[in-house]
Amino acid sequence: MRRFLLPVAAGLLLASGFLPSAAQALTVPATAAAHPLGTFTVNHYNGLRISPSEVRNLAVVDLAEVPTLQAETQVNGTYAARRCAALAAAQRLVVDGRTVPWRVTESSFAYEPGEGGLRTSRLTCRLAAAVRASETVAFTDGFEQERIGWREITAVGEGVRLSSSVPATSVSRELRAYPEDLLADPLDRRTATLTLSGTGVSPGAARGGVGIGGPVGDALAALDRTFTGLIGSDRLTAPLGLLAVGLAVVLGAGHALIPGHGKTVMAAYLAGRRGRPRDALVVGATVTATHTAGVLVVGLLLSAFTALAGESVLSWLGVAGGVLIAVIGLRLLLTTRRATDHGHGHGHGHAATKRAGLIGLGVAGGIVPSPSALIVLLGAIALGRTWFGVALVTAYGVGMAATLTVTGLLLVKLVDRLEHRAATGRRLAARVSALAPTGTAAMVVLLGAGLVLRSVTTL
Amino acid sequence: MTELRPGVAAFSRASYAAELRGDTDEARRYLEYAHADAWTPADLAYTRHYLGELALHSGDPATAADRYAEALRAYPAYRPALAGQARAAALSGRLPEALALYETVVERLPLPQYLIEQGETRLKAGLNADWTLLKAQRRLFEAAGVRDDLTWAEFEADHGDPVRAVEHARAEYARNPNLVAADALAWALFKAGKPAEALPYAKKATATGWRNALIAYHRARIERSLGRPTRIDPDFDPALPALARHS
Repeated sequence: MRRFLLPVAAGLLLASGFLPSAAQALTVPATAAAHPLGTFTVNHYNGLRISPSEVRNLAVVDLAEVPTLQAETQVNGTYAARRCAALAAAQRLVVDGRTVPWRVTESSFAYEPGEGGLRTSRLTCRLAAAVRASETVAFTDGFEQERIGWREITAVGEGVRLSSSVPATSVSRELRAYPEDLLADPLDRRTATLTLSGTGVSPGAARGGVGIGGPVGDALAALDRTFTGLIGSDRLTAPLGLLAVGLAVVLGAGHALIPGHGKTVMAAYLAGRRGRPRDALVVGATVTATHTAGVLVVGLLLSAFTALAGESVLSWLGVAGGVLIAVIGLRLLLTTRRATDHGHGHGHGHAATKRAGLIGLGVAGGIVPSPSALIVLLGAIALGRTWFGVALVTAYGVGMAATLTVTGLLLVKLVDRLEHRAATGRRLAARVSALAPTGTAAMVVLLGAGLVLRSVTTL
Repeated sequence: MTELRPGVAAFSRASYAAELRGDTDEARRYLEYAHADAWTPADLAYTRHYLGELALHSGDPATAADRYAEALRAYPAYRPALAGQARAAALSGRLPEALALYETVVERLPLPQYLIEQGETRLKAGLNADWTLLKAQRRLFEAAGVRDDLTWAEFEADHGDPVRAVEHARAEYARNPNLVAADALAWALFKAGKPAEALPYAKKATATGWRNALIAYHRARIERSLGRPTRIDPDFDPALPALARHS
């Protein structure tokens, strides 16, 4: 019944050499380093780097055992140089509508031990094209694409902003570690289209979010890299998953320490409105809910519509957050003046207004998805681990909320102290306290306007 | 099956069953149903490829070559059809063309079966067969725990050590006692000098009426060596067994 070893589409995969690796997964734990994609595969990786003065490519071709053996007779001292020259000729680079030739700057070829006493091999070519890209870069890899295998392209900007059809980081660590759950359906990316938008840092380079520098900032950045790395690890075991969730909470908490996130606004609000501990909790919970929902919506939108650029979405959300804060500030100002006009009325309507203001604050604090949470989610979607990504993003939001709630509680305490002193008749404190509602409301408006301005400039 | 869920998969299976019964017309009809039902390029290529295989096994390499070409038009990356073109060329005696095609096939997808077909075509053209790649693959399969006794039984019987061929064929037949395994065991036993032991398996392989030139040839050779009157098909070329085998 040989024919039905190869039923229709699945047969294409089986016939193409995925059979050995699939069967291996069922029978023996791999002792030797068998090629995870099957012994027939030729796998391609291209890592594009766009800088203001040139375009570079790190091209890697990973040959499994059988193609390595097939090529063996051609290997001599000039093999790497010959192969890289052929590769450079077959890779098409179009910058601002013009085809640009590649120049090989470095080539190397190395064997690695494979299965059954055979070897695998790895060709590494560094290519460069001295060209000043100003609008678009289109790349197509046409080098020996007939054989089955993994095809991956990444792109980052160095000193230029990119919106890109391909990710910034390699999920296979440049063909060194293939993510296991993608093996049944290997990546098949042969083209990349990049759009440049002025100078600056690309989304890929800025994945840690706003840097805060210093030792704390460095530690957070290191954690961040571990975190984004975890999502793509080869095996997703329960301890590793829990570790990732724990890290997500810590990172979320750390992320909320970075300037922004309406902490100043929250401080001003709580101070001006004589907040209670409950209010801090409301803000924290709203931030978590908004942030998680925001990341999920933006993440799904970004993975569904490739035309959408992550950066501009984040900027627009930043504008929305700023506007929201400014509106809250204006409302605060209005109610403060009304309160001064009509005396202190603590009616039911007033409480509802206050609740709405608190929730608004939380929404403003959580509406801009943090880039690292977004990257984790997008990575998880790309790896087919969407639910794991959702769990991590939720954990991240919980961490953020914890920091904000604690900050809020501390503020409430502080304000209580101030009030207490005012009540005991210290004149200066009393005057500050009396001025507080109007002053803080004005501050909230200013901060909101500042946020809007900051986000608009990045659009 | 074909009524419950008519489609490419069901019609292809029905076609194969008909082919094993020796009803080539019925087999072709089912494949044509499958082809009419196929929509995706991969399905179109698949059904056209097997229409080609059917023609090839009926001794019509010209029609087979047309079907393979149609399969490649539907889906240019469909490697089995490229191998089919090589097979049709070799069986029509166009050896240089066949060797060039096999070169491309093996370059893209070095399956053991294609490597064996290429080796046989080279031998037929008076060249050396290089089994290095094939043997390396056997090591890889073994290291990965993949058992393909059928391929090695057939290869060892035709080009290697008949004793090893018998071992592989017995292992295969013990696991999958089907027509193909019965034929492999019969031929391995015959090559190992045991025609009397081989005959029951050769009879079993032909019992359903399957009109396959290779198994008919195997049975005829076995019967003749036992001194029975038999006729060997003069059109069958025993130098290219792997090309006649694949189905």
